[in-house]
Amino acid sequence: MKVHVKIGRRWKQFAAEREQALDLEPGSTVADLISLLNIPEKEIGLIIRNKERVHRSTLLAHDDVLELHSFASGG
Amino acid sequence: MAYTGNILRVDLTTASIKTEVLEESIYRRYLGGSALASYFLLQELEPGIDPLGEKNILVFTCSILTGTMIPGASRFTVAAKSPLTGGFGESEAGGYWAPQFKKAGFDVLIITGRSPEPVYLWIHDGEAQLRDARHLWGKATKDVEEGIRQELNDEKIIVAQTGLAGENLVRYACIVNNLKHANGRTGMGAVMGSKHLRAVAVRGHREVPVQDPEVIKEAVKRFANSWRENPDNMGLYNHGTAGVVEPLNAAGILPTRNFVDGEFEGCHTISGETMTEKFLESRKGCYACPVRCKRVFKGKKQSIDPAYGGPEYETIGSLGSLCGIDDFESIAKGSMLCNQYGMDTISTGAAIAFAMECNEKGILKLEDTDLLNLRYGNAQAMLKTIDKIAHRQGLGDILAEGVKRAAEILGNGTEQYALHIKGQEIPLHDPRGKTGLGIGYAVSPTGADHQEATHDSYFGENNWVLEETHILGLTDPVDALDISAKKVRLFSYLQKLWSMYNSIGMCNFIAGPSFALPIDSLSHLILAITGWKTSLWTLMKVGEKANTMARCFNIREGFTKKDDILPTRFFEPLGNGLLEGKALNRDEFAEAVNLYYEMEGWDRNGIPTRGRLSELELDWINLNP
Repeated sequence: MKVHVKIGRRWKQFAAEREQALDLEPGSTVADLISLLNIPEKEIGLIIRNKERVHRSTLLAHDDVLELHSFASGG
Repeated sequence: MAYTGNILRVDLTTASIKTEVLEESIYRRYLGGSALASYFLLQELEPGIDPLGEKNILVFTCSILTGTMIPGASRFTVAAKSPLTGGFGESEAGGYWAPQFKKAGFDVLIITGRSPEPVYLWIHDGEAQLRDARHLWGKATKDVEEGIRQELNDEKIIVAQTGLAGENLVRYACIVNNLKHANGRTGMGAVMGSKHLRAVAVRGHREVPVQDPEVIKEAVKRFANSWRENPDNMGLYNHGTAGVVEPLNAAGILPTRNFVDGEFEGCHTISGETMTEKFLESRKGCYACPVRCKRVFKGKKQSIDPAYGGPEYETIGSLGSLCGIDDFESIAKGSMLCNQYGMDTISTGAAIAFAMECNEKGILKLEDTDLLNLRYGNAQAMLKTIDKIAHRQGLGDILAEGVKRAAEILGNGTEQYALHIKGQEIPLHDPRGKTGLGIGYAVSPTGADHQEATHDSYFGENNWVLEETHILGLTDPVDALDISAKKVRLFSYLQKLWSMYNSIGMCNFIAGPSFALPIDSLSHLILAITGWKTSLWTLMKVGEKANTMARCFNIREGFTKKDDILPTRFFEPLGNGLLEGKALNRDEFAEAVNLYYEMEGWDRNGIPTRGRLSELELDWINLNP
C-alpha cells in the first residue's frame, strides 16, 4: 500500500523531500513508517493522519496522508 | 553555602538602606524564588492596598542555586501586589542579573515606599546606594543601561529596569534586564515605576561558595556533554522557543485572530524555521547555560537593534497570529519596541488583538482608534499602537489598562472580546487543545499563565517523556484533550514541580521532564551546594507551599472560586484547523476545577483547609486579617 508522508520543516536536513510517498506492507503501523524515515524519532510529538491526531500504534491504510511534527508544546 | 544570608531592604520614601539577616531555617523552608517572595509578601504586605500606591512592596529573590555554574539556575523572581489583577503578582526572568546580585552579597531585595524623585539603586559588593535618575527618566531602556554603565564606569554592570511604560503606569509594564530578559507578567514594571525606581544595577565579585565543588563541576560537565542529545534542547538551540509555531499550527491551536481560529494561514512566514533561515544573526543565552535559546534577529527592511534580542514564541504569537499579522520583521520590530519601553509582549499583543476584534465587529470606529486602521493583519497599526500604549495616548491610554479594564471603559459589549483570567491577558496557548493548561490558566494565582505546568502535549500514548515522569508517579498516558481525573492529577503534580522550579530559580527549559537535566538530579545538586539533604518529595512540597501561599494571598485580597474561570471564548468552537469545532465543555471544566481543589486539600470554595495549611507549615497565614 502507498502512504503519503509530510514531515515538519525542522527535519529538512534529514530528508530530501518534505513530502513523499512510501510503499508499506499491509498491516503497517505509524511506528513502522517512522522507522523507515531518517528523522530523530524522539522529536516526533504530533502525528496527524487524514486530518486527525493518531498514535504510533495506529494502523495505516492505502492512500493515507500522514503528517509528522514535533511536540506542540510551550514556548 | 551558596546563600549569603543577607536581605537588602530599601525604603524609597526615607531613602534608607539596611541589611538584615535571613535565617537559615527560612531558606530551608522556602529555598528562594517564588516561595520566598510569597513568604515576604504575606508577612509584610497589608491586604487591600493600592498596587500602584506607596504601600505596595516589591520583592526580588534569588535562590540557593543562583550564581553557581548549574545550567538553567540563573532565574530570579520579582513579586508584588499586581496592578493588573489586584492579586498575587509574580514573574521570573533569566539572564545575568541574579548571579550578579548574589555575587554582590545579597539573596533578597525588598523595596518599600516611594521616592519623591526618580532614582536608581546601585548594588555592588555588599554595598548599596540610591542615585539620582531624573536624567534617565523617560528614556529608552538601552539609553538607561548605557547611561548607568557610563556613569559608574563599568561595562559589566547588569541593569534590571522598568521603562517608559512603567513610568506611565501601563498595568502590564515589565522589568527587563540586559534589554532582552523580562520579568514579563503581572505588571511588576508598573509597580517599579510607581515607586519612581527606574533601575536596579548590580555588580558583584564575591564567590558563591558551594559545599562540594567537585560534584557540581562533574554535573556541569555531564550536562555540557549530553544536552545536545535531548531533542527539546536541540530544538531550542536551533530555532529558539519559536520552534513551536509550526507544530502548534498543525495541531490547530496556534492562537489566531484573538483566539477565534487555531490555524494561521501565515504560519510558515513567522515560524522558528523561517527565523533561522532568513533572519538569525546569532544565538544568545543566560548565565552558565550552553543551550542559547535566545535569538538575535537581523532585519532586512526594518531597522531592528540587535541589543534588544529577537522575538520569543509568545511574542510571535501575540504580535503575529493573534493579530493576524504575518510580517515577521514587523513582529520583531514590535518585540524590540516592547523591550525598549518595558512592556509585556503577551499582554501588549492581546490588548491590540482585542482592539482589532472590536474594530472588526464595528464597535470601535476609525475615529476611536486614532485613525489607525486597526484591523487584523495591519502590521503598521500594530506598531503604532504599541507606541500609543507606552505613551498612554488616545486608545493606547485605554489599552494600557489591560483588556479587562479597557472593556469596562469602552462598554458596548466589548467585554466578550476581552480575553483574560483574573485580569491578566491569555498567553499564546489554546486550552481547547490542552485541557491541563486550561485548568492551570483558571487556577493560577497570577491569572492566565502558560508556565504553570508542563503542557499536555507531552503525555500522549507512546511518548518518551512519560518515562521521565515515572519518578513523579505519572505512568499512564493522558491525551491532550482528556479532562478526566487523570488529567487533573497530572496537572496537580506537574504544577508542584513547576512551582518548585520557580522557587529554586531553575529554567523549565533545562529541568522540565522533556529536557536534559534529569528531575531526580536536583536533590543531589542541592546537597552538593548546601550540604542539606532533600528529596524530590521535599522539593515538590516547597512548590506546593509556593502555590498555596500565592492562593492565600489572593484570598486575603477577596478573590473567590468565581475568579477561577476561563473566558467564554474557550467554550465556543474553534473556527478552523485540526480542532475546528472543538470547544471546552463548561460542566466538565467546572468539575475538573472542583476536583483540583480536592486534590490540593482545599475546600469546595477553593480555600486551603486548616489541615493542609498545617501540613505545609503555613498555619501562620491569617486568611481573614
